[in-house]
Amino acid sequence: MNDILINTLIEVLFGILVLWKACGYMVNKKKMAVFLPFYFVGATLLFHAGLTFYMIYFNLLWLGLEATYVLLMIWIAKTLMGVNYAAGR
Amino acid sequence: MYAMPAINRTRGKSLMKSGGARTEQVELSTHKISKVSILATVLLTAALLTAYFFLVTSFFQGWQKAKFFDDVPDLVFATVSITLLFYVLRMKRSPGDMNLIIGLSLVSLDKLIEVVLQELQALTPGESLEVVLWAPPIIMLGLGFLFIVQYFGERVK
Repeated sequence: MNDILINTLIEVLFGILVLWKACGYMVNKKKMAVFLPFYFVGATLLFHAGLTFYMIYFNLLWLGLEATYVLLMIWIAKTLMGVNYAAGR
Repeated sequence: MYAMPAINRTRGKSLMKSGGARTEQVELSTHKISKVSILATVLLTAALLTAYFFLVTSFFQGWQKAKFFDDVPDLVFATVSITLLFYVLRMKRSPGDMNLIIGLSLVSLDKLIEVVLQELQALTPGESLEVVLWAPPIIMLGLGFLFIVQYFGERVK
């Protein structure tokens, strides 16, 4: 149980940090579309932490969570290409 | 006098807005990364990671008894992040890129380590590994995403 708790705490910590930074940039820079994937990354990290805490290791649910990460990475890649193209002006 | 139409030397569309109007066409001359090369990178990365999967599982219970539900998503995630890493390495350098490179490296490395750990865990079904083994990959994943957010925060004006 102690190990699970430490894992969960680490995930919650990083989830909140990513959410905090993403929300901060969204508000300060007024570019919601660029930072939205990171908002979902933070939320997914927290969801992952919840699953770890309650020890829910249902394969299909886990698969869906990993698929979410992959889709978010593809979204980040698309955003990166957009930002990169804009920087070439 | 007949005026020649301007040759459209620009491609692509920007996600960014400037002055309220959407920027339709932007220069891509500094970024010679074609779709073909991205596809080739994806295929090459996927092939290498498939070989990695067979190599890792050969040290444990063989690929027939591998934890596919855990390994395959990890490998797909690693494919996307390593492809993105190659893309970033081929871009023209600009200040702050190191954040992105470090972030993507950490995320990719985390997923590669997780494949090994999942196979290690499969040796003792019903028991989870010690926190000393699980904590570093989780920290790497979180730090990786933080580095990537940092990059966007510095880059986006």
